[in-house]
Amino acid sequence: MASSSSSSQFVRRNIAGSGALSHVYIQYPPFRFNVPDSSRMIYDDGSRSLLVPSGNKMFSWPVTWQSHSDTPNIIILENSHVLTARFSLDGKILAVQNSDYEVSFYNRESGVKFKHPSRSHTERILGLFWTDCPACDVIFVTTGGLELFALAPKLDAVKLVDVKPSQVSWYSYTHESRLVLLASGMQCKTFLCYQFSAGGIIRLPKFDASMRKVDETSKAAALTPKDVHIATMYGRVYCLQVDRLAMELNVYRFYRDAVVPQGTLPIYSDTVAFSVVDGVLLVHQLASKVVLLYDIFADLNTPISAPLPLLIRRDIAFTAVGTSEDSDISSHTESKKLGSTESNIYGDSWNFANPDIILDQENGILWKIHLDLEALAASSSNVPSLLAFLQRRKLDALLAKQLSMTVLHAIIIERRPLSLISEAMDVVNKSYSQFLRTRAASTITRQQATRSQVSASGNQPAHNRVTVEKDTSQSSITTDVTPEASGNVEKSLEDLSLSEAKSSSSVNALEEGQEVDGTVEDTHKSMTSDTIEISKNVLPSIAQGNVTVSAISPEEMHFHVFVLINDEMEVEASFLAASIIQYMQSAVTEKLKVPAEIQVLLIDLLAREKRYGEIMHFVRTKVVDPSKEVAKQLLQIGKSYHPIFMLGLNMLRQLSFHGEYLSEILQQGRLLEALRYARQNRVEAVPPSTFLELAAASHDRQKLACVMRFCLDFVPSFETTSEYQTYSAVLNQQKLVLA
Amino acid sequence: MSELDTSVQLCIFDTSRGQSDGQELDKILFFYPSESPFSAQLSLIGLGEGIITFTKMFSPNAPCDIIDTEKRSHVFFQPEPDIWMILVIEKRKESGELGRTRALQAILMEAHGLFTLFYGSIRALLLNSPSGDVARSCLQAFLPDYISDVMTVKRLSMLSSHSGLQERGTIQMMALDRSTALEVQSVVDLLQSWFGSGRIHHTLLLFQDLLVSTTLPPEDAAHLYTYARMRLIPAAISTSSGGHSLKKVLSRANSSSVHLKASASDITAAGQRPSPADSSNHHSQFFTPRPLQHDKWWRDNDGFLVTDAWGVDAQGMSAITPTVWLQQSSQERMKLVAYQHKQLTVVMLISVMHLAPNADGSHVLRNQVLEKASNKLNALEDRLSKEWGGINANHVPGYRYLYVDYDSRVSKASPAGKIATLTKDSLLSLDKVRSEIDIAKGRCDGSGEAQPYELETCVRTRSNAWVVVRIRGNHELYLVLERASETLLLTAEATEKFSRRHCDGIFASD
Repeated sequence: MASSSSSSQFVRRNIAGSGALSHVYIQYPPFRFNVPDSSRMIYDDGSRSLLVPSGNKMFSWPVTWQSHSDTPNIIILENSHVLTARFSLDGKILAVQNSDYEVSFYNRESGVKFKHPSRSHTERILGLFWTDCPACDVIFVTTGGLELFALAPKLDAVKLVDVKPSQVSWYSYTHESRLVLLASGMQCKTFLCYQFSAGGIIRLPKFDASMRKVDETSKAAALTPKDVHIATMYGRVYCLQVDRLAMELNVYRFYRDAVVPQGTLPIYSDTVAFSVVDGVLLVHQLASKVVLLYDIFADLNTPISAPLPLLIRRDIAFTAVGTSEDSDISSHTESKKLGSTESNIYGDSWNFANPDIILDQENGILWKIHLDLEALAASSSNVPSLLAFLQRRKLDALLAKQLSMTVLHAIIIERRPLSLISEAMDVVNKSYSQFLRTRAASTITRQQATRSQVSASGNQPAHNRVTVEKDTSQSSITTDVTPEASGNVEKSLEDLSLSEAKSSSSVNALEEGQEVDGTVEDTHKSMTSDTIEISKNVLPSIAQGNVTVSAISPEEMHFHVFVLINDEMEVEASFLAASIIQYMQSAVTEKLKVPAEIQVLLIDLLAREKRYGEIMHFVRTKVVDPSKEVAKQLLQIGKSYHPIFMLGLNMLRQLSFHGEYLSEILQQGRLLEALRYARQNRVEAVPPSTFLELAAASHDRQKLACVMRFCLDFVPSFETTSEYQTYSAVLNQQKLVLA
Repeated sequence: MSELDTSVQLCIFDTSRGQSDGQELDKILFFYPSESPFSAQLSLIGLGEGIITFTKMFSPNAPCDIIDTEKRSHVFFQPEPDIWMILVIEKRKESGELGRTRALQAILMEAHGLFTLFYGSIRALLLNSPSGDVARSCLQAFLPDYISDVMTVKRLSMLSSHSGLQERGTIQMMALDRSTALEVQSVVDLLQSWFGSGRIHHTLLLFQDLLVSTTLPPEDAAHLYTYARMRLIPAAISTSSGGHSLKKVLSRANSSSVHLKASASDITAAGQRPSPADSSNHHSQFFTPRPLQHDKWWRDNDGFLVTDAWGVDAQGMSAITPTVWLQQSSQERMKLVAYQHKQLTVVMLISVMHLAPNADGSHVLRNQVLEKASNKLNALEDRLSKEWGGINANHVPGYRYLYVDYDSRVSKASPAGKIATLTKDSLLSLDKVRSEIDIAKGRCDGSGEAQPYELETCVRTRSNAWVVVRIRGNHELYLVLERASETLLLTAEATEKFSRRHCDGIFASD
């Protein structure tokens, strides 16, 4: 599928899906490793790598999905007891938690190792994570709160910077949201959250998880880490909290200074797990082995798809795309092995890692979850919301775009109600104009970044040094802060999202195509490269530098929807014309420019049904923009209906296409008028010979004399040209003939 | 002679009929006033026919326009081959000149255009009913109402004094912003699509008395627009609307139509005209509609306009939906359904051919419109009324103008209130210039030249006003500038400026 899309960018797609057996699939082959004596897998979402401790070694693979390097990085550990491990964000230092009270650090490059014991023996270390927050580098979560450490300059020790004391029973952290959630209290239902982003540390107000009392006497069980999930969807940060007794899922959204409940979803299984793929929330109902999909921008109360199981897709052609690995597929033992893993879907050994990774601990397999957009498109009956959903896809933007256009194509071909088409057009145009706005905003940001980079990298004279540094620091602030700060300042509920999260969700497709400059702030770079890794695999075209977004431009609309339909001739001209009108109307509402080709097509369609009156009306009211293309089309149609010809002629003249106008009136034999026009508008493109030839051809001596006179008067040094000689001879000859 | 008022006479006759002696009366299809003695009728027609035959010898294509005598003017108009209309107007001393021949002919043209809109062409009626009774009863049902509307001497003279900057039979468009125009078009398309494809064939949208949009070809649009302006727009419909019960409808229908009943057999013949659906519509067989009857349209509570001018159905339960004939587009018979919201009037035409026999599609349409479109239409009315520039929207300070586009039958002119500020002298001069140009154009039409007619004239009047005329093919611009100080050069410049700003530069002289 993706291979076909790379060959021709806009293959028309059939919305057939994979028989709609599932809407979500995991791609075979999975990432698997072979490490003897490995007990478990750790997925580090900060560095996007898979860590497998075995004996006194730590194997690690970057999870890029592009090339599964079979050779892992190996770090020799001093202590084979590993509770958890995380790489620093630059991948240089591995932090391993050996026990409740001790963390070891291993510098991969220098080989320096050091340990850091817990501050006191009363507080157990629950976990740790690295951060790109300017104040600190690594944070330990202990039962007594958060301990913020900074790396020493030589990277050989960590220094305590700050402590955020609080009672912690357990915690939850995702690197994507940079948010740590600390649970405390008897039932562990009081949550305290901090966000450690490049912009600084934000402490969010405490909030309590809502637990519905099903029955007065029954006491709700304490919440566990499995019940709470931090989800980042479309750059917004949400908290999902399971209420097992009520069989409900509570959704909260984090704002800078508030946590706002968003509603509840029913759950149908005792145990649920969550994934987020491309902004879509997947609620895995583990007991019933089905998955439900929710889109926060659509109605949260109704899933966007029917409950269907997760599917393993064995599409070999797909797997080969953009990857160099083929050893996995060729080996038969592998596929045999899969037989056992296949039955293992939603097995006990499955761990769901943020945001879309599944670890099969038992079989040593790592899966990545994908959305089957085609299946989703095939199963959805609500066209506008389907289109809105497709337009929000960022990961598989090219496919989403193709599907969107297929849907648009289909609704016109199937002659669905015009009101539906109108709604669909609105969705498409809204999405495109939003894309244009974001692009404009991001261009400005990038320009700022480049400007500062240029000034910083050049060989600056010494006295400029200070200003340069100032400039750089300013720009680094803007690159990090602008996306969230701009426009949001006046809002009381400030959106809690990271510059990275936002930019990756809204503009990522765009940025990926661009080269990431080394001088842009370090964190920024690492973030952006994060997104590159995934999407390069999914969208091969992006790797080739094509900017791909799901939004459909008016030009694409023309070539891949309207022209196609027009060529297929399956739908009558009037209906297509009405659809185009709907499109133009919504485009104009969104202040988009409608390309002249669409307008030409519209005129052509109307002319086919001889609706000349309407064409004239459209031209008069400027529904059809005056343009050269339109004027030419009018002249063409005008051959069978003269008033339209005049309309086209006048349009040419108004737009000052002098050459075209002159050639048209010369064709009509209006020679003298053409001369007058040429003089009035100082048209020099048409050579005198054109006029002279026509005059001579008319065998009208007077006319020829007129043109000669004109040329003598207005063409500099006309007497010296050969034309003068030729045509004065012709004139004399005609005189003789007459005499 | 009795006290018969003969200040206005109108006759319609067919020169191909009544060829043999003693059959002359058969030529006459219509005569107004109808009480005129046959001798008077025959003598008028005899004179007309004689003149036509005589002038044909010199100009076979355009025989005769007018006979101007000391007391009367005879205006000739040939709407269809062999069919002639003669309008006789008595001159009155106080009113002076009667104005341009073309302006008077335009009245006849309009009358004929409206007639064909409702009944089809006179020739078709004659072909279907060779005795001519159907044609006569139709003309009789239609023209007296029309005459009472426009053709009294008083009104005619009043019309003619201002007619220099007006063009009868053209459409006045509402000036629309591009996005509004697109929205209008989008709503029209939606409206047509909601009633199933192809059922609503055409729509005509008016805001007050201005046309907003239409899908009709220019000529049909102009006719329907004229009718809508006369009878359908909010200012024209019966104000005593409210609760017109069906009983009232019934009683009205009975009382007003008795004298119009023609013999049943004749009308059945009319029913066999091209449309097969016609015969299914039994009621029309007993009733010749009077579309121009006054106070016959009113607005129902649901916003639809109803009329009993086309009679009521057999049970007397509901009024019959009016039908019209489209001449230019399809030669088809269409049912006319009109919806009104505040200042917005939507005229929808449904093809009779597409309706099941005996089915009146208007009820289905009504429900559909109310259900789906009324919101959109109401929103559109809002938007239009915000965009409407008031009655002086078309006013251009310093200019009194008329711009006519005969291709699309659209005209744009200074508001009547502003035209009235012109001196009588200016108007008379304009009228004279226009008459001259009419004649020149008439000659040009006859010459059959392929090139578009072009003309530029600038006339200084006695009172130092300027009358400017520019013609480019089927586009004509008339300007009156009452600024005495201006030179010819300045006037030409002012004209160029006007042309650029208000006429898309069509009239540029180069």
